[in-house]
Amino acid sequence: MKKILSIAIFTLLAVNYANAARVEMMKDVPERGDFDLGPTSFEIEASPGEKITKTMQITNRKGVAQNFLVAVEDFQGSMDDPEKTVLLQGDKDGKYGAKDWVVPEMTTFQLKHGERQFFDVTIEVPKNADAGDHYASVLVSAPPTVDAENTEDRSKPNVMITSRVGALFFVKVKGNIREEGMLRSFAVKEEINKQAPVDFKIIFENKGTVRIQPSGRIEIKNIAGNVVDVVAVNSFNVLRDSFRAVNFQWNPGDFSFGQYTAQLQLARGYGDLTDSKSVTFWVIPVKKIMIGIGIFAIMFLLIHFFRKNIKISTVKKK
Amino acid sequence: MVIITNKNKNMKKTGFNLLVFVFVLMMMGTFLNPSMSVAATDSDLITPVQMGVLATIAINCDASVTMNAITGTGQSTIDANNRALCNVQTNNSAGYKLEWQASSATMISGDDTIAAYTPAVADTPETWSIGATTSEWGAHVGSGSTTVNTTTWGAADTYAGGKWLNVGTSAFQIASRSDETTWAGDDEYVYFGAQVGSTKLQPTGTYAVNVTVTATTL
Repeated sequence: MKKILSIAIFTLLAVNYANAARVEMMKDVPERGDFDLGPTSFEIEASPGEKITKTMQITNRKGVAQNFLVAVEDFQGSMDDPEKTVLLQGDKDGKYGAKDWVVPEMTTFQLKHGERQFFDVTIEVPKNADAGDHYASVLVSAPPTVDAENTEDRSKPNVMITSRVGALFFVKVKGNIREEGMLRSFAVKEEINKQAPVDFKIIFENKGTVRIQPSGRIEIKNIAGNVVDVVAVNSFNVLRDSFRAVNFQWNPGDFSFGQYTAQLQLARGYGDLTDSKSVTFWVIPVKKIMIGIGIFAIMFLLIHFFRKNIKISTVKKK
Repeated sequence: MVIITNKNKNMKKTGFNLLVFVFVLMMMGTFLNPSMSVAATDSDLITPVQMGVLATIAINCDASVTMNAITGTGQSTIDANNRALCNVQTNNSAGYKLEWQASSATMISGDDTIAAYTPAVADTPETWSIGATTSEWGAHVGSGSTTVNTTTWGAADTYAGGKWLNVGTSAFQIASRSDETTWAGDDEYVYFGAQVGSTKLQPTGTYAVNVTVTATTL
């Protein structure tokens, strides 16, 4: 029995050790002057009172050693501006924040070029947490070495810039949740497009208590009703209680000319509900047409000139 | 033996032929552009092999900007000295968004400050304009940026041709894209501007501020 207990304790410690912060030297890491973070998002479904651990990684590609800081902020979507997809809240509390639930294993560390830091982030959902989505971001920054505001040296920079990246934590608390959203608009930027690409904008509204991920396709049909191309609408996140705008482009082919219809089929991401809308637009590549007409005119005039003015004949030797 | 002679006859129907050409072009646009068809599918049993590739996001911004100095009154000249380059790279197929945020609304030199730019409508970039009795600083997303919206930020990197905004202490989204970047990443330029009004006595000093630029996916 003691032996089994010892093995169990050793296994538990080994697992914990394996999950604890560690640094690995990666091979052939290019010197890009930056640092990367991954994964960039975590989708967590948990019951009130549940504790979950996730692992993040940071790789230093700056070419030099760098200090890093780790912080946690709430984020939320916007009901005012659909272009603002994720608004970090700084020290403020978000509408459906989770920053107090999210604890990174470390808050500072240093990496040499090519090193990758792994560290755990623990999410502890309070027992009284509301059902539905709650959002927080774990942010990793590479602060500059000089504090611009605390220097009297006139040769020092005016603006010190801190580069920062974040991983988004979507924490869905189990319980009585509501999925509700709809396509608000589908529009083309220009009704008459003289050059590629043709820009489309989708605005989706989420009125439920959890994140929705709509996806679908835009079929491009010519005036005869034939489908000439399909633009994939990859799934995109629409946060709880927010609007989200996403943009897509279609590059018309070389022979594209005339009136087209773009038909959007967008699955809402829950149930089997699909929204559909279409827009009509024109593709008139004026530049190409003018070049074509120019070439045609020159060719026509040359042929005409030769046909009317030049006679080519052969004379056989007697 | 080849003989070339001038038949000297009038040219006709040129305009008509041009019209025929345009009509042919329209028909090509409608019918020559390849239509798509749905391929037939088979239901062979294939053992699925799957592997996930998770998203990463990387950023590198110039660590500092030493803006062109203002002598007494006037504007800090907008050139490469007044800008920072941020490069963002992500393999996330839904893209990324970029925000800026300042440590303080004002630029500070000891007890003296240069106020934040005050747009007519909050959070709406506009052509640079300040009063004679004030001094202000702001920023503008450069027209050469990979994902810049020139309708929002203007098509020129000048006080008159660009559109400017204050850098507040709350995060403000300045750029985004809806798909993954190339390996080279997206270059986003941020220009910083400042002006001392013509009747403003701004104490000498090195005015400074810390700005954080944050990239996240979504």
